[in-house]
Amino acid sequence: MKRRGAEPHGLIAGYAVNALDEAERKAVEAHLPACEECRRDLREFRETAALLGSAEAAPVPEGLWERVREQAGRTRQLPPEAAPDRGRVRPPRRRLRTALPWAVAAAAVLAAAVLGGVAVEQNGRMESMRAHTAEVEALLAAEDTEMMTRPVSHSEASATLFVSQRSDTVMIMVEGLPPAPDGMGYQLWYVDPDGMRSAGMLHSDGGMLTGMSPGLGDAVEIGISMEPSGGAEQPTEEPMKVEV
Amino acid sequence: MRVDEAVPAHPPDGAGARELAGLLRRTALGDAAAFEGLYRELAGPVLGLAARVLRDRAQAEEVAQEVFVEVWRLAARYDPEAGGVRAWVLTVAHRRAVDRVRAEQAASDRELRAGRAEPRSTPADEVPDQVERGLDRERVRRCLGRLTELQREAVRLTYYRGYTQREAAAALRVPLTSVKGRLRDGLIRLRDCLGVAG
Repeated sequence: MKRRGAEPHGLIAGYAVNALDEAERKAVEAHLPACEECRRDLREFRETAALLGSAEAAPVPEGLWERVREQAGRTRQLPPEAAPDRGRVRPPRRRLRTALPWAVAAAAVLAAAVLGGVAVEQNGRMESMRAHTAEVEALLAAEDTEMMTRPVSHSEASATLFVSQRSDTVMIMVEGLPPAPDGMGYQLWYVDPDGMRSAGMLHSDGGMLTGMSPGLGDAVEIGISMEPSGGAEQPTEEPMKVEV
Repeated sequence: MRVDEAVPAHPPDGAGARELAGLLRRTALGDAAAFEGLYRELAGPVLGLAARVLRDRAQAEEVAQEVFVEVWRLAARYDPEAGGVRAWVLTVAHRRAVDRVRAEQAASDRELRAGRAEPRSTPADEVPDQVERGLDRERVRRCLGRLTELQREAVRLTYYRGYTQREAAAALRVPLTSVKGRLRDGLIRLRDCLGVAG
């Protein structure tokens, strides 16, 4: 019994009735080509919604057709899309690798950034770096790992996330946040329905902030707040949010 | 657990589906008569749905006009694998109506922040509307009646009011995950009750 709304699959109903925000909508659209079950659910939900809509049928004023006809007459019809050979649907196995090949490259960049951050911080302590490498690899290899790109609320920044419910882990890369002043850093939070838990400090690497943390649990969002570099027990300001 | 008896149904989108598909195919080739046929079949539902979401007749007509011009423009790109023609057109209509609701909401939020406007009042509406307009409406009403309270509210706020799931969660004061789950459960139950085939 897995049931979390975080993965695109859990968002199909919301997608069918246009109840997602922009980032969620994009996540679903990226996920659909690889998920036959999702496409079937979507089709059925849309047919269902269409029946709700049809039941609202209202009398149509005569003038409306004239306006439609007139405007359509000035509108060029698009040709069929040069059919991207849809082929048969691939099973959603190892989706990160097979379904989203471009994600692999991004994952490699992100993994390198995350590892780089750790390597600096650990100052050559190979043991923990090796352990960390294994964690990153495990996350990227997990069958349910999803990659998503999300806006960071109250900022111009965006976050790329790799999320695995099964490994209970999130890896995140944030671009576009201003550098933290000396003695300060960005701290990551898991936002549960009833509170927040620290998910560690983000590492700064070039203009990029990276982090990886287990313990996702039932978090519905990731929070990011500026805190003293040692980290805080609880956020001292209302964190910016990223949906998962 | 009670087993839902199926509401006696004419097949959803039934006899008309093939006809609509034919009209759309011809529309894609620039056949104005076929386009008009499509319009005559679907203008009522499109307009009614837009009016329901927007609660504004004039805006609903604008949306309906946009929708049919869009259908004309994109007819050749309709993908039958993604669902029937009726569902496609009504999805476009719903999306456009909801986009307008959100744009207005954003504008009125800006007004609010600037301290220039009163909070938007949220008049109670009912699902289903008590006025019965035919078999479809009655069938939908009965199926909505079989949802749990929270399922029905999730469907009402998202589909009929244009709320995001997040806004619906805030309005209902329940966690976002509950709204996501109840919306999904609600649509599944409606699907089965309305006899939508897979």
